Amino acid sequence: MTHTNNITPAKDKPYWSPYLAGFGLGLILLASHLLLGNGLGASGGFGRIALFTADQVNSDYIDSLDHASKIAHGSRHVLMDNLVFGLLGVAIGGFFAAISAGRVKPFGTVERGPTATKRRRLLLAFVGGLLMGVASRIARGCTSGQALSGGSQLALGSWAFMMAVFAGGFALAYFVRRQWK
Amino acid sequence: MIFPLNVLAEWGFDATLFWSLLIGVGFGFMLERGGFGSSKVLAAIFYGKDWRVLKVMFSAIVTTMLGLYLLIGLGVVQMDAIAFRPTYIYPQAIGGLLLGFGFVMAGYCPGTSVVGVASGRLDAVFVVFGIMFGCLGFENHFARVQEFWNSGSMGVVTLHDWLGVNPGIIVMGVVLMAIGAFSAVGWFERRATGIPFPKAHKMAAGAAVMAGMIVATISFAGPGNARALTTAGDAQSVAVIQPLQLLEWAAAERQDCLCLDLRPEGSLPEMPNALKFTSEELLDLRTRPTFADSRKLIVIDASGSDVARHVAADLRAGGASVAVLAGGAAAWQAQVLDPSVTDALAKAWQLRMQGKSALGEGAAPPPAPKKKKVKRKKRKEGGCS
Repeated sequence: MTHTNNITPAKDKPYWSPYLAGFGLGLILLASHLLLGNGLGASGGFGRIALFTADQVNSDYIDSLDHASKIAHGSRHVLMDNLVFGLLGVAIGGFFAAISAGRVKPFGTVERGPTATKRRRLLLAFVGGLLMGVASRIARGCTSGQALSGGSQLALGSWAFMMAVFAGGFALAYFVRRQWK
Repeated sequence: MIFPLNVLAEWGFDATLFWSLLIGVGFGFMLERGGFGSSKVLAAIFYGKDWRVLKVMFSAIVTTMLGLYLLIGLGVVQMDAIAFRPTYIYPQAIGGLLLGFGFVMAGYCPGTSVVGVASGRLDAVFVVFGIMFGCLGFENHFARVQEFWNSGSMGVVTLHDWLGVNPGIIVMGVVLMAIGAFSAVGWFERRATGIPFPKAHKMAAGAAVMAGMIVATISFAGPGNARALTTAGDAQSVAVIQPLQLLEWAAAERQDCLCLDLRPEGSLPEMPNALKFTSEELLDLRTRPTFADSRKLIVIDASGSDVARHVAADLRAGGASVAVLAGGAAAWQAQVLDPSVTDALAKAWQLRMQGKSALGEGAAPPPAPKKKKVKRKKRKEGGCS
């Protein structure tokens, strides 16, 4: 494929054609539906790992939460879940893909615009993460579980979610542009 | 070893988890190869600079959708074997908007942030911590948001259910929409770079349209979706059965039909060979029991309302043979049980019922269908996926 991309740094191997990567992603997602009877998900795994960690720190606090304790103290260990193992797999697969293409940065690299400060970028990264954590819980999934999985199932609510994600992203883009400048 | 396998087994490690891990590896690999280990690439879509996100996402959605609906259309995959995402329209719309805000701030979405961490990026690590604190924050305030979280529940409803059309139309529509979007952004890119449209892309687009046409055709006429011709979630098109017809079947003690009574426990009149369900139980694929395929299901509520039709349409979409009792239990009361009816069979039925109640025995309870193992229950509690 001859797709070129001005963002790709010259020293790294170029990314795959987005259509090829998307096709591959689609086959993986289809395999997930056929093997597990379900799509993929990311935020659910995060939620479980967060609950597990909080439970180690203060189990009584988790017990006091009706919804959280059901997940954290269920019949099965909170980490013995498809979503947690899926997330672990994403880390392994992502690392393998990055290292084989020479794209693993020295740890501590902060990707930002040429004049943006590290502090600005890291602050926005954390706050954005916070928002996404809450949002993915409210919506019962994130870009993986709702937009990709639900979208390919043609689920009505997942399409509403997907449109809303793009609407939100485009609406706020102007206000956070300085981290890339 | 840090994580011995026997400890994993003790915690309940099984084959599903292994497959999840493997599929996750593939997912992470493809995300990275698509360029999603970099927040700059991801955020670029919101500034109209690079449309990779759109291209990768929609290529993936189209691929999976074509595969899934091909197999459903061929009858290889049963729709209720797949955990379709239920619709909770308000939380999904508001959650999506908030996630969009977070996405453009963070430069990553939850799944891609993991790839970012795996690519050695510190900003991605901050995103990951943010997400985890965000999830905990939600759990902490769950009691306050619970009502909103459960609002706008519509059950499992797909775009074709919602629009009342055959899935093939939506499948084809999504393929064409994706190619239209790819061509539009491609046109902008070509104008900026002057690089001509690669021939391979044209061929891929042609192949996708062909595949879409095949899947759509199978969706209309294939064995798996022969039912979709009549259903497509269109509640108004479900078959109805008249009380006297049902009476004939009941009198003949046909074992191949089963009444699903949506009315509350203890409602009168009692229906023959009936099991009690709530409409929510039947509309949710996780609580819906598996009915033997050969059985004819008759959905009964108080008056044969739209709720009963909706449940019936949904059961039919799941592959069952379904009818709604016209006029519901009220019509049964009026046409079969009312003392003034003249129909001979109805008279006989009334005598039989009187005889039964005189003997102090109700209608023999029908064999309960096997409740489906609710193995996906956890997900419902888990919230996000």
